[in-house]
Amino acid sequence: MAKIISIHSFRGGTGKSNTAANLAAIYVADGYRVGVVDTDIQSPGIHVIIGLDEDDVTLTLNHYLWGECAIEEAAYDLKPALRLQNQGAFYLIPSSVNAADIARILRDGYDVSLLSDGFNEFINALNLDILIVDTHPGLNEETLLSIAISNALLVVMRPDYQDYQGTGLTIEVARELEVPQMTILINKAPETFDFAQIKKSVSITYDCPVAAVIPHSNEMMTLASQNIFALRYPDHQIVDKFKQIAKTLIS
Amino acid sequence: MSRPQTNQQNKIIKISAICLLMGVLYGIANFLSGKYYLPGCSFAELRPQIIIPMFIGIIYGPLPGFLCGGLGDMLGYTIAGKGPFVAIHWSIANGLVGFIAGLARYFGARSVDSIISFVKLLILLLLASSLPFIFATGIEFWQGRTSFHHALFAFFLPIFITDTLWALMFIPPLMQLFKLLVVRIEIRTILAIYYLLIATIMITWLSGVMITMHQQLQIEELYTLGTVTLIILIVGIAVSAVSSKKITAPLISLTNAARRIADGHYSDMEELNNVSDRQDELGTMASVFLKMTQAVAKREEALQKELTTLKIKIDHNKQSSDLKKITDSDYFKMLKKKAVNLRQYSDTK
Repeated sequence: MAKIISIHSFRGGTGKSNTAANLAAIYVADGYRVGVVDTDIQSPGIHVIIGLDEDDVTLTLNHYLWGECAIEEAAYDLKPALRLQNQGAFYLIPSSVNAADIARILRDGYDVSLLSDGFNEFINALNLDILIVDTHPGLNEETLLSIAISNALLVVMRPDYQDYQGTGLTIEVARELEVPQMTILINKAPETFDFAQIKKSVSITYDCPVAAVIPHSNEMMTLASQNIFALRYPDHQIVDKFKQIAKTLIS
Repeated sequence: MSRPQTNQQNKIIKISAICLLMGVLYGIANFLSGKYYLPGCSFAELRPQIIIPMFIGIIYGPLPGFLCGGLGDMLGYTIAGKGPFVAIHWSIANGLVGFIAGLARYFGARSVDSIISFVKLLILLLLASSLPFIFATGIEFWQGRTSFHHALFAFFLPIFITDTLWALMFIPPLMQLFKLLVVRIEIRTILAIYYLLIATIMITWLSGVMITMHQQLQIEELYTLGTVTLIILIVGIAVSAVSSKKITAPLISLTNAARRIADGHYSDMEELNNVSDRQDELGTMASVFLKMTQAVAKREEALQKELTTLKIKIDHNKQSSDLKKITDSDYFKMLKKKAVNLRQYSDTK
């Protein structure tokens, strides 16, 4: 049974792509066949964290949406580049970083329903156990679709006034769409916070479980989104938190 | 051989070479100045070069200072054709000048950054200009080569007064040049008065020497005058040290308080309370500073409280209306209808 997990945040800069990359790496390490789709067409970025060289990218999600290729043709096997030796599989469908491609898709739009077909084709073609969707922030059509087709939704937020209202709205929308499993990740929490208090306060406010509170980490910032943290510092306490979230999302 | 040992050896070689060079310079200078004896004195002369062993001592320590002074003195005699061992007790005395100045590092006076360390340095210079010559003159007297009066007025006082003045005049600027004297505000305050005093005393003393050379003064009168001027100088320095300390102490209290605040310590402002009692501008500044500290401390405490307790405020009316806008759209309705099927597809894979 394949599981679609959407990683979403109402606002940008919450560490969504980073979370998606780390969760994917943890699932792969556990032997799962994992696919990641970057649906943040307007501002793609996860390929940088995952270490996919832009020069190696020919076909992308954009090409699939324009009908120029099959979805699996735009999937890149990351295991060799990440030097992963285990049983699992790790594929990424990136969005195009080409400025002209981004302009074209924003201007002409695309058939959003193609996305859900594409996800399913991706799952079938590469025999995936888990599909992680890295979404665009906000609540536009493709985000709503990603949420709608997800078996699990991870809402990433920062403990920050600007995030409270939007996160609440996202959770209500997901509730309307009857997403079976929904959980919150509080990311980049300043060390001065009482983490237990934040966790309790957020879960009560949104009536939704909080999977973890991840502190603002200097190591993570130093890595500057250029590598997967869980692979670089497998014993770091933050990685333990990611593992805990990974477990919650497929339970 | 390990690298640290090599470095240590290189350092010793370098210091030895510098000390040797300075010793040679000292010896040559002694030989050259040896022609101009002080009035009534058969061998002591105006010799500003005395600062060489003193400064070597301050920089490199007592032993290099001793070797520089002692060997340099012996070299001076040798160049003059008298042989190195002609007056070994005077050579030892010259060595002791460098040795005593070299003790500066053990009394916190090698690097001068406060009035206390400055005064310590001056005391050491005074001792370096006196004790070695008490020793050498004492030997002359003990061996019966001179009377007490002659030992005092023809040996000790001429050397002690002139060497002290040279040292006090040149060592502080040299230390400033080598960045061993940190010109903090209290040093700055005392230095101006200090140099003024030294210059006045030096002029008085040299004038006395010149007048005596022209047979206007008895040597007893000259060296008594010298002793008196030296006492005036020492008293003057002591008074200026105390007054500088008084002027600068509140500023230092303010600086220390500012430093503590920068480190996030807002309590323990007792020092500032004392300054704020003053009626002058510094008192006003201290009380303003105290008020500011209390305000900053209060603000930070409030901020800390705010930070550690997360308060989530949500405008529920706005949320409902935003939600309605989304859920009322045709796209959303269609999506909601299809959502279950869409999910089931992957579920049944």
